[in-house]
Order: sequence, then C-alpha cells, then structure tokens
Amino acid sequence: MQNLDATFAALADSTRRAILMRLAKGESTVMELAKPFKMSQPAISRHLKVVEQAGLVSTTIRAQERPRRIETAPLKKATDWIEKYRLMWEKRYEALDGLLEELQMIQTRGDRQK
Amino acid sequence: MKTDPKELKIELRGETEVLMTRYFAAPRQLVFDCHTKPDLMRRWLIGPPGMVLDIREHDLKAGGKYLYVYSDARGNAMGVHGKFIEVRTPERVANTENYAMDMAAFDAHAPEDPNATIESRTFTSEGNLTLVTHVSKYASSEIRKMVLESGAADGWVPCYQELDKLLLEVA
Repeated sequence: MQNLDATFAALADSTRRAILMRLAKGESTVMELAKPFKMSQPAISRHLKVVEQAGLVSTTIRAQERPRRIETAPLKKATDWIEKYRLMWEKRYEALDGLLEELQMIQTRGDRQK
Repeated sequence: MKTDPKELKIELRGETEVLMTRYFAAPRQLVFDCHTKPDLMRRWLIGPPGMVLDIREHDLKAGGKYLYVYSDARGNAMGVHGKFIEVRTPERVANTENYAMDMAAFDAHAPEDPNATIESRTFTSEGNLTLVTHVSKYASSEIRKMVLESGAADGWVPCYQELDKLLLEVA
C-alpha cells in the first residue's frame, strides 16, 4: 500500500505530472518519454524514479524493451481522500453545531432544576 | 457580524500552513470538550459515509498517542494516528497526524513519519461564540500546494485538478 504523502510529493512537480499525463495515453519507453522535454534522459529518469517509488508507474519487461505504464490505484486513492476530507469537515462541523445545541439544552435544564 | 458566522473559512498562512476557521454558538469549554472527550468526539467526528469511528487510543497529554479507526461493515478500515504535542485546556490542542490507509498493514510501534502533518486547534471566546482555528501544517509548500491547488476560490479543494484530468484520461 502506497502512502498518500508519496503520491502527493510525486505529483508536486510539473515534469512528473506531464510524464504521468503522457503515460495516461498509453505505455511508453523512457526515450519516448524524454522526447517532448528540454531535459536530458538521466534527468527524466530521476523524475521517473520518484513516480515509480510512489507506485504511480510500473515497468513492463518485454524482450529488449522496458516500457513504463501508469498505475491508477494510488491516484484514485488520493482524489478520493481529498474529496472526502472537505465534505467530512463541513459535515462534521454541522454535526458539532447540533451536539453543542443539545449539550447546552441539557445544561440549561439541569441549571433550572437546581 | 456581516457574514454567516458558521461559514467554514479556509485560508493559507506562510508557506506550509492551511487555516480553517469556524464559529460555534457555545461556550469555549464545551467546544473544547467536544474536541477532546471520546464520548463527545464520537458524536460528530464523522468519517467517510458508512464508516464508524472507533477511538482505540486517546492519551490526551503532551507526548500521548492517539489512534482513531474508521471502519465499515465490509471490513474496510482506515486509521488516523499520531501523538499530542500540546494540550492546554480549554485553549489549544496540537498533534501530529498520519493516515493509515490500510489498517492491516498498520504498525503501532513503527517510528513516526518525520514529515507528518501537524494539526492544531485553538479555541477563542468571542462574546457568546467560540472561534475554532484549525491549522494544518504540511511538511512542505509542495505538499500543501497539492492539497489546495484548485481550492482557492471556494475555500477548499473540491478535487485536485491535475489528478482529475489525469483520471479522466485514464478512464
């Protein structure tokens, strides 16, 4: 299981996002990946390593080729998490409003009985 | 107050922080209790739909650990864990926050991620209201950017845009 921090850190760079966008269209070799960038192949390889370590890209071994492939599961997990987080806080705070109201009513009633 | 006091406001502070503020119509001590007493926390710290909160560990003191697990009927479980850094009743609580997306792989004794997000909640009385200031301090500006990128306009990230685009292409 890959952690979210690794996913977010890997996505925090425009070159790496561009690599992922390219791989989203289909698998590709490192040489093909490097072509659109004004960057050396070793520089691209370093970026690839980051996305690979985050579990976002895997390598297929096929004869002489080593094409890279995108792995979508960690990405889905990351978007799901963010969306859930936002909705969660709005819902939580609404629930807290209700709870506070209830607790204060109990308190007021208790005070009156004193 | 001109605006709706119960509006959830989110803003950025410095390079790495996200500030969330929200007013509650209750005295400070009560709002603090709701954030720190397990019986009360369980009532409102709702998780993802269909998931229930189990407060497995909650050692409310500086250095004390906590582990909250959200689980559903199908056996999915996700944990939030860390340790308290500061506890000042009824003013402030700060803690580290880590997510265990897979509880089966969770190791309570593993060393904590040095890049853990630091969460703090400060409680301030303002007349009859209590202001809760919730600060998330991320390990780097890049990580914060990731979390927030598309959310500046309406306060929070409805979704992460780049990721969305990517997922659309993959789908």
